Amino acid sequence: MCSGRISPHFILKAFQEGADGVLVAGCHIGECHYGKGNYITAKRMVVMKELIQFIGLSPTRLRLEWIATSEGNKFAQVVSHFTEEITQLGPSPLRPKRIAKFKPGQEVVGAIGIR
Amino acid sequence: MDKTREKMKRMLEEKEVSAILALRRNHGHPTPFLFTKAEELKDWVADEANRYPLTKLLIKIARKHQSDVIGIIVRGCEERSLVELLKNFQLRQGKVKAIGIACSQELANRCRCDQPFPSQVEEGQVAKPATDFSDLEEIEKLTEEDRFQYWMSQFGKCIKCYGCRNICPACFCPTCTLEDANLIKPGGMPPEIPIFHLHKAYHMADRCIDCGLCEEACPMGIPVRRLYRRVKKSVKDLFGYIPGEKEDEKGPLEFLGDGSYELPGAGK
Repeated sequence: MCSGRISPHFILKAFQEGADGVLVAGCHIGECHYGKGNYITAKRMVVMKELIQFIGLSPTRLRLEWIATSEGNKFAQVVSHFTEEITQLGPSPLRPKRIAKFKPGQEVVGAIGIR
Repeated sequence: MDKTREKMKRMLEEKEVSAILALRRNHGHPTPFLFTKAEELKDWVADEANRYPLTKLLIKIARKHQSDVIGIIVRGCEERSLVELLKNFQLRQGKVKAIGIACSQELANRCRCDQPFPSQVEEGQVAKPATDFSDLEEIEKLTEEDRFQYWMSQFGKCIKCYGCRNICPACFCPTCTLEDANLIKPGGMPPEIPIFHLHKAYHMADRCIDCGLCEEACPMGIPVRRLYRRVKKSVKDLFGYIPGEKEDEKGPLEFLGDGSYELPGAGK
């Protein structure tokens, strides 16, 4: 599947379901099978990184990597490196179990007396 | 505002436009009204305290009356929204006539507006742009964990009224991501957070005209505008694109591009 097919919504969905990290891998720039599918991936990823950083998720949890089909070794390296990084960061605060810690609107609702 | 009123009157009388969409004082409250006769214009107001997404109404009206040219009173933000809507084929080129009015300095400061005036202003002084990003800096100062805590408690207030989307003068899709059952689980209160707000935030990245109506409309007082301002700022810093500025320039996230955006750092 072309990396240009990876909608930002898929990435957000993965984080929402509790993924600790998301790795997006695509063909190198200029070697796109479809011409220029990966151009937009590059653009999307930078904006996404800034967005998740702003809401308090570490931008390290999202990674974009250009890996061609023939680069088996690179793929293995990238994955193990990424896994290491994520292990250091610890589980995502959006894990369903952990999310219970942030009772939605708890303090606020209490303060203004709704419910 | 007499000069603007005169101009509107002239436009209606000379049949330059078939109607003008603006606000009318109705029992003391400004409400949207489609002026079709010159004598109705005595009730016209340019109210500053109550802003209204007139351009969004215009989409529905223009669809019904496709052959008519419709005038509309625009502030700086509304003109930017017109540009976005024209660019995205929601309105027809040449079928809309904008009549610009300037915002007062007070309103510009309140809105933190970086362009509180349309391209053509009939009368009055144009206000100085307010370049105030203190709201964003306030959040960026916090540590990662605090930021997360802050946003989760804010998002948790959401009652899923879709007010921010419905009022947004840059939103127009007939099928909305926010109602997609595969992406966001239907039912449940609050909605799935933060995904619900992040979906919209990502969509606004190259579309947000920074009018601030979303935050004014939110019944729970979630500072959603800060989120949109932040992504808008990213797009401006990274690609040099400002939504609603030029009619012939597409948002960088809407097309593949020629590779000139291939950014340093990507793929490393």
